Amino acid sequence: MQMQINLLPVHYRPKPPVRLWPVIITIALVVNLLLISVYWLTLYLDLTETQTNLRTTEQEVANLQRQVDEAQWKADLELAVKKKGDYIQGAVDEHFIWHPVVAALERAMVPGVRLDTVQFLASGDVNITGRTDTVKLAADFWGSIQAETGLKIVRLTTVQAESSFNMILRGSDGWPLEQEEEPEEETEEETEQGEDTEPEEEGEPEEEKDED
Amino acid sequence: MKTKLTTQQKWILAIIGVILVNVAVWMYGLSPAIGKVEAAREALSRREEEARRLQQRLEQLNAIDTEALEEQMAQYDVQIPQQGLLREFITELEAMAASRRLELGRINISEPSPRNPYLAVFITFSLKGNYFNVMDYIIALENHPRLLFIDTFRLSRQQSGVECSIDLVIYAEDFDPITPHDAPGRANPFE
Repeated sequence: MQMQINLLPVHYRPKPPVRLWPVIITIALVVNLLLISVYWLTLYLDLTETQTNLRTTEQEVANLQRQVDEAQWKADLELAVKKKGDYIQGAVDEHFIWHPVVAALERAMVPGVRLDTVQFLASGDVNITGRTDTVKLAADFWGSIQAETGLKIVRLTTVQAESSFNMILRGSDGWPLEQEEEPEEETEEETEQGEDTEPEEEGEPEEEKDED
Repeated sequence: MKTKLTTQQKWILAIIGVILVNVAVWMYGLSPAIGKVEAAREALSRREEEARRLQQRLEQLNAIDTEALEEQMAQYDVQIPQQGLLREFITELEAMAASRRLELGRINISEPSPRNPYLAVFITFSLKGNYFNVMDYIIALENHPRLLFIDTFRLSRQQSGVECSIDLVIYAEDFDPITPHDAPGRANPFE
């Protein structure tokens, strides 16, 4: 068996060739360690910053929540106003306003016809009994009352000359008159007439007028 | 027999060891930390969303015109008062009749009945007098500042003038507290 012996001094002996892969692996390991450390540090800083932001935001939320709670009465007031307004509007829609109907009756009156009773019912119907000189007058009244009220259904149930008549006004589907608004100011003609007469005291209407 | 590892084997073992350390660091260090960061970010995101929502809500609330609402509510409170003011109302019915020279008959007042969320009281009474004065009374009632409805009414011809019976309804939040009156009192109430 042969054996090679180098007898040269150490510094003259040929050095073994440097192998590259252990160097690369070492560098890779160091880089790996560095990357992990940097990533860890980044995560730590990120977590710290996020938690700080979270605390700040929680304080902001608490502050806003307090302000919202303090201002909640405004929403409650708005809701209460809306509910009350809706209730009032609903009640107004459910009920009838009668004085325009009476005014229409007044306008519909024809000579020779006079009323005994007029009954205004919660259903919206109106029952009228009265007296008439002739059937024609009652029929005229029938026509004029429908024209004045705008009602679709007006029934004349009984009528007798020189005696009584009965009439039913079906207003349960609503009175077209209710849409009309009361004039706020006197018309020019009324004003001119009123100039010659003394004004009445408020709340003291004229006591005696001809009812027929 | 003792086996000696070559340098290459040692390096492979070192790499495996480092990989194992990396895995351990990932599992027990980085992954939980990432989880914490993610959870914190999620919580922050939720809070920021809540803050935005609250900010919007606050802006909505601050945009409400409370003065107008209070004014509106004051008007509604006249229509449907918190207290029924029944004593004042029937007194007003009488005063209105007297000012129109009408004879006011018996006034019947019902028990308050619920009209969710308020209460209603039905009042029935009759009037006698001149037709025009009666109609003026009816118009005054229907234009009353209080929410008041004439449910039914009946006009009938009399010897002089007309008789009118009226059923009306008024509303309030509560009819029970009647406005107090400081009475002088009398020793014998039957005297």
